[in-house]
Amino acid sequence: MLVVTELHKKYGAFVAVDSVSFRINDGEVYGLLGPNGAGKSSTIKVLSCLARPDGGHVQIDGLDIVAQQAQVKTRIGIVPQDIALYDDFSARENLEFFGRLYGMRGADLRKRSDELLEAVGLLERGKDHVGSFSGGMKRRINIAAGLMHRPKMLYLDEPTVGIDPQSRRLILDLVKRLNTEGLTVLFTTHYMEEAEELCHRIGIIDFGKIIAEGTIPELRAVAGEVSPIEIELRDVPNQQQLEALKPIVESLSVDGHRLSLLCSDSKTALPAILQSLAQTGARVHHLELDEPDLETVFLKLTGRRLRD
Amino acid sequence: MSGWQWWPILRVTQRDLLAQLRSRTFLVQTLLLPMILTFIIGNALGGSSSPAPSPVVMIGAENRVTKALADVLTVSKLASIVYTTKAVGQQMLEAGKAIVLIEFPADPERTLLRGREFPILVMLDSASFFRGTVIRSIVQSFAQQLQITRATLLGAVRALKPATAQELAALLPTVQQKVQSDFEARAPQITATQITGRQAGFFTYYAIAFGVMFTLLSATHGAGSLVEEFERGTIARLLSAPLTPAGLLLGKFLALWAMATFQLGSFVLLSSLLYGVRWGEPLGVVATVLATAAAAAGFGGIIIGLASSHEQVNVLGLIFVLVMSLLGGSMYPVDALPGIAQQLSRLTYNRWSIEAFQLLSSGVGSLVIALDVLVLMGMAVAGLGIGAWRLSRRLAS
Repeated sequence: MLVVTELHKKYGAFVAVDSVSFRINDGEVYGLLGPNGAGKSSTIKVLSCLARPDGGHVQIDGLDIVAQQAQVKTRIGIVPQDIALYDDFSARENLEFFGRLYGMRGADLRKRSDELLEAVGLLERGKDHVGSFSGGMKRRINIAAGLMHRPKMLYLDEPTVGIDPQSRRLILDLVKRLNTEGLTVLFTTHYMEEAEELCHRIGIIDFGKIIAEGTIPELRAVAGEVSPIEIELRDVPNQQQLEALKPIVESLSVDGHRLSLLCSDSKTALPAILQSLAQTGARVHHLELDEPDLETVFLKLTGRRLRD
Repeated sequence: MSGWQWWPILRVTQRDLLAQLRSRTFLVQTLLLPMILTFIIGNALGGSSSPAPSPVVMIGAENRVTKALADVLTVSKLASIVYTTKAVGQQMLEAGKAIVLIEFPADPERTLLRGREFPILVMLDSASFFRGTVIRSIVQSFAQQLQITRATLLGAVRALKPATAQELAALLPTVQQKVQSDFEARAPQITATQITGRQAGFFTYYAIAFGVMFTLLSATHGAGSLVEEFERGTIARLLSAPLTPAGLLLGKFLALWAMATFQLGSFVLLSSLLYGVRWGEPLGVVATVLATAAAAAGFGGIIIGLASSHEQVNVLGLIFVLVMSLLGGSMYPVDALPGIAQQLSRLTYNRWSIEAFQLLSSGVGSLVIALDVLVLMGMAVAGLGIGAWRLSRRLAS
């Protein structure tokens, strides 16, 4: 469905996307993961025909994104990170306006807006102005607006930022349902659990480059034997205690009483960690051994957390 | 052109129009404000071209003499006549319900023919000094005419020397009839013709000038709609649809044009109905309204292409409106400007539009304004082109 080859985009001297290549197959949910400023939005901007690439090629459904832009536009739907709706229009008017932009009209337009209002749980509120909606309701209409013209591929840019758990659940379930109906999805998010729940494959992007790509098991393998350990102490750890841990762990971060550690082999490292803490007078209140997740992968690859 | 489709462009136009019509400030900004300002400034500078008649009180009952004066005053639409008692008349004058009170002798015809004194009392409201003075001068002229008529009649009667009062009474109607028929037979011949090329009155001039200026003001203000698309984030949705930046600008231009046409058209209609402004030959007025609205929308298009915030829209709009209105005759007639400013005024939209409307108002046909209409349409196309070029560059960067 989508083939990105050596994509390059710069703004002045700043290189936002640096030779990015990836492929999304038909019916796949692909997650693009990365911290703010990593190049996710610039990549999506090019893929949405909102910016011309400075290098490389992008093909969507076999069509070149530059040479056959008009045809490409009818195949993609976008859901921007910020709510992109008209507050002075009702939910239905918003959907119908965006549908009409693609030439939809008459019974088909009304039927499609009904379908989508029902799908996002807002059929009863269809006549209400979007300005009167909560953040979660606006997010749901924001997604529906991107689906009005029945695109083959949907770009979802951080669709669950700052919303209530109920709306979040509804959105994730909707994306899953649309995917089972054949929609291909490019999904960007900060939330690891969302990416792990939804995405078939994930690309991790940092400083404009894809630094790792694959299925979740493949990416966990990238992290190797590295395992995360969370330790909560009774007191705030002092510098001596932290210095004593550094030779044992691969990375260490402190948040109040809480220590987040990354170890290459938790089974052998854990006794040493506990012994070191005991020797320096630290008292352990709680200890948790996790399976490596995408956050672990990112930490392992970049030495930084995704939300840093 | 690849990717050029009309339906998304027209949908953008439709949305912008709907949003404008739903706006609470729309009516005030586009219709009421220009009407009110035109009324205030037009009257302050020269009064209405069709003033409402002022109430004038005649004391006593109607008779042939008072009716003759009343006819003069009412035919000229200068006054409306109220017959009443002196006490009531004075009360009306003091209360501002009348501007002039006129009192003739109780039986003016008899008083005249008997050669008795003929006092005429004229009382004026000082608050309506100018109009009152005009009415007083008309009364004075009327009194002189009465005096001439009386002298003529008395001269004729004396020449016939009636012996008794009965003979005099029998003679008077005959003499009166003879004098009147002689006068009518030798009445001055008045040939009335309409001339064109006269200057519009202040009221008409400022109605035109303000209508044109407010059309530009609204069009430049409406240019903020693209900034709102950026702020809402809807610009991404619009441009990821089958719509190019130039197509988006064209959609917004068409909305501005339609709104400006509605505003100026309504202004023409309402000022004509309410204030009696004479705009001229309808076909020419329609063409000028359309061309003026298009040019205003063209300047709106330039602002759309240049401005990236509401502050910039406001500043650029203010510059366009002030400079063009000052130079183009919306604030001062172009004739009153220095020579170089008169030359520069040719670059403004106001100058061409006001000129076209003034020509039409003076009674000329539609063909005379063809050049003005063409220049205005040229401004519209140029504005649209500049705006599209700037917007495409901005979005590409």
